[in-house]
Amino acid sequence: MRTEAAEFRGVVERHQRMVFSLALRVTGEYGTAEEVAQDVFLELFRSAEKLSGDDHVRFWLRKVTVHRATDALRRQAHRPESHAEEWMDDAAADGDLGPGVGTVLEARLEELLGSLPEQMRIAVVLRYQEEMLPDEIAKLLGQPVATVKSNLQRGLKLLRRKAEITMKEYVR
Amino acid sequence: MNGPEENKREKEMEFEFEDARMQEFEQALSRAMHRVEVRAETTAKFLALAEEAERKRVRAGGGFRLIKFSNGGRVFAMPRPRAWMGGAIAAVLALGVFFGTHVHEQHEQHQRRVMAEQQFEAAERITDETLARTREQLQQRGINLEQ
Repeated sequence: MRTEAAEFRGVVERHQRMVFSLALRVTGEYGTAEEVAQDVFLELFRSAEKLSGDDHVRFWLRKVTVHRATDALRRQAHRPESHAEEWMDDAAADGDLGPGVGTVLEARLEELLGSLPEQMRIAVVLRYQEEMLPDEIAKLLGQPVATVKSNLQRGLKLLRRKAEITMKEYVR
Repeated sequence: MNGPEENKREKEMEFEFEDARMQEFEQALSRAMHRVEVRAETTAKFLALAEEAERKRVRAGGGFRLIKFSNGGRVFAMPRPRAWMGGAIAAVLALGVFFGTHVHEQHEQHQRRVMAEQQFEAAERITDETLARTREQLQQRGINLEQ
């Protein structure tokens, strides 16, 4: 893969939503997510010659983004403030939401996601945003499949319990 | 009071209900967690970063790059050609030719010296042997050169 700027531009355009969304959901902050995504793309630019094919690039981007976002999260002295409503509004304005999907419910779920412990949050994001299977997540994170499944199950239960408490009007 | 069969059925229904609710929740979560649209200015930042990195790389002249192929092969790629590279290569070649010729001449001189030394040693040995033989013959005839 060549590192020409024009080719890089194409890669950024194809994968920026994935990278940015992962970074945003792991860190919970728009500005931090932007910094993480910038770092990831810069590293991609430097490492582009080691990568072959779009699948390899996608796998690499997901892996590096999760690691960078986790590092950023750990550096934050305070708990991430969720700006879910802010960026959910942006997404809605872009007409990205499907018909009948409640943006309020989604924004609340995003906020609750930010309250999950780090490893559970990462597993949930990769499963439900990236639609990755547990064994794919395990490979990406370098964890046993059983650990990933446990984090997913516990994360989902915790998220649902929180949703039931805070969003009675939406969750049965 | 419920019998054991009724209790079992009730529990099964509870599980089914719980399972259905969890599935419903998972679906809501999947819908909520679509990828976020990136703001135009954020995209511009990403691209500006790449362009800046490319400019720096070009200014630095690239350098050798390790290229990995999908089949596991690796190769070092040459840096991109620069204007001064032709002159530099010509100078290196000229120096190579000069030093090569010089080294070759030195080697030939050394060879000639060694050969001359070997020839001298051989001649000296032959002379000594001839002299010794002559001395022996003269002694046999009763002439002693030592006297």
